Amino acid sequence: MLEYLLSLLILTTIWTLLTQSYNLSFGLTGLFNLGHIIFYGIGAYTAAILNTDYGLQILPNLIIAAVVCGIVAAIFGLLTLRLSGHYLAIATLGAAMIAIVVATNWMDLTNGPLGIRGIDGPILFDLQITESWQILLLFLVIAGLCQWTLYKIFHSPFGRLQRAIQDDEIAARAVGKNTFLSKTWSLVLSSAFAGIAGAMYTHYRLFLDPTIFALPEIIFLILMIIVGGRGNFWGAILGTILVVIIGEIPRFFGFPDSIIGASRNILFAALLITTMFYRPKGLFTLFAKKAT
Amino acid sequence: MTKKFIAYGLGLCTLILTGCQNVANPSGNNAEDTITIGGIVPLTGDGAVYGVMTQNVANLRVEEINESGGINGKKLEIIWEDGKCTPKDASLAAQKLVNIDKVNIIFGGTCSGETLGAAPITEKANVILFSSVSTSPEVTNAGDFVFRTAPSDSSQGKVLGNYANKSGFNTVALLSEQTDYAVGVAGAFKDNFDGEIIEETYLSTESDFKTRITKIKASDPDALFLNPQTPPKFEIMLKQLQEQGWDKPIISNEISTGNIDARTKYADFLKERGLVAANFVAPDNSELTQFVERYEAKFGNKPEYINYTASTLDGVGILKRVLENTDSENTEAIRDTLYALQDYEGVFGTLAFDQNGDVNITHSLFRFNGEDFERLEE
Repeated sequence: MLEYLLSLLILTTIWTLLTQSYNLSFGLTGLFNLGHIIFYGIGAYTAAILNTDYGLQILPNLIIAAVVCGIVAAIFGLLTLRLSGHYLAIATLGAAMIAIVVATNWMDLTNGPLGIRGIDGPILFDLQITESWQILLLFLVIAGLCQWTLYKIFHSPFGRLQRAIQDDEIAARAVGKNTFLSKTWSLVLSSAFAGIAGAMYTHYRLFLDPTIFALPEIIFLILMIIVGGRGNFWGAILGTILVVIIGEIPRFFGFPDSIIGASRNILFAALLITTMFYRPKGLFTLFAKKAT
Repeated sequence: MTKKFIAYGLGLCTLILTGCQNVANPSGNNAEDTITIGGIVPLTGDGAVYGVMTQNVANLRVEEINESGGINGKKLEIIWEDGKCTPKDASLAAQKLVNIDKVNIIFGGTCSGETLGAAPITEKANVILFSSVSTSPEVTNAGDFVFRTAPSDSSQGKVLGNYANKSGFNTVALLSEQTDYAVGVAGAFKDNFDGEIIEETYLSTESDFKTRITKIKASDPDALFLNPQTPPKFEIMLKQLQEQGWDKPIISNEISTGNIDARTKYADFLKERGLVAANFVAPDNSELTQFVERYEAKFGNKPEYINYTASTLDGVGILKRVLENTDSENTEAIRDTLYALQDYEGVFGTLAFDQNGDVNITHSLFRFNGEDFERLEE
């Protein structure tokens, strides 16, 4: 039971970082980017390949994963960010599809559907970390540093510009801001942190295959952000925790796995609809006033 | 705020580092009178056909061992985990068994992908991984602590490749699943077949082969090699082949040889297409026949795959013998005893492991006669 709780906490830590990274581009800047999960996957694959082929360990892998995701996001942004709204959503969704096909078929790089195995767990300065509570502590430190950086970004002039772009891009441009460049930076930073989350996942799960690019996951990311409040820093964290807790409720009624999956979706849908009706700005709006 | 944050961060780092340790040998926590080992088999999904059967065979054999006095008076117990026939779930299962249950031996996996997914984890922890069903050639080099009582598919690919050569096939179409097992069989077949191969692959999640069959038909091969990972996929292939009027010879991997519904349903179709499959079969012996009777009495049906039943019986038997003579906590001693084993008299005859932990069994050819498989002279 304790082990199960620890593994849930580790995954929640990773998910919280992923949600917060998405909160930057989707929540704050308002980019309706449905391809965010690609950067999580690219980060995961970067770490897995660097570890199994070049023997690099978690800390350098986290940094390289962030850089690789940032570069890919910059190219991706230059190609797609002239679009907006639904057009951007379709283009990014298409990119996510391409990522799945590439990961499944580029056997030499990703080993396709057979996956990459034999990934090392977290190793810090030649010390191998195997106990779950130690991994949790390490991940809390890493995710904490990332969250702190994101907090600074959210509350910097850059962050306020992103909010302005979401509210009225033309107005932002009218006061002399280069909104295209800002949006690209938002995407790059957001993707880099998603890459870090992906690399953490790799070093925790120790096996990686193309199912990491599961598109339905993007729905959960959107759900967590809507529940927490778009562009609300603390909302993203609390939203993730709330969704994880609600998702685990069916398990305690002793349902079989097949029913757990379905009942989870019902609960999530109910949560989303309730939020949209009664608290369209997120369940944690009170918190937000204090924070911003 | 910042200073406080850094202070907490540093505090956490110190906690982590002081809590770390080198983990060369995890300590076992076996109770005095029980030897607990782990087990990884697919209990859900398409692969459950093998998994549940392997679990039943091993459990029944272990029950019998325990009833007749156990291992030096200790009871043997297996903690089963669902590997779902994927390396991903098997690696999760192995992590749980190694880090939480602290087992020294894992019996499994069943699907080759499971064994290959679990091997890096067991290998790092010096835990014995002992499969009785995985046949992929990759398992040979999966690690020093990996053993198996099923033959490598390099021999399956060889007998099928030779058969295709002898039958005068110039081109063979290969419809192959993208899993470790099927990729292994396909690779071994390619190494041994001299003609041209037209390969079509599919993911385990797919179940529509119609476009692939149309494409294969258009390229007009001399024969078709069906290479699925699980029986449900084999059945879907047969249905769609029949619908599209496939009329050339069919060869297949050992998946088709189980007593599965698909064969009865498509018996005429398969007989007319002269289905030939590779399989490894134990010589007739009373131990196996009697065990199958006990299995049927307990579970209400015969084991689906007699070959895996036999290799699982041998697997449990070998482990019993090794544990009787070796300290169950010392995995290096168990490994060395397994390598040194030369004269185990099992269902498959006298068994021994080579330097890679592979067993001395090979595949033979069988032809489907409309009811059952008959051995072909090679």
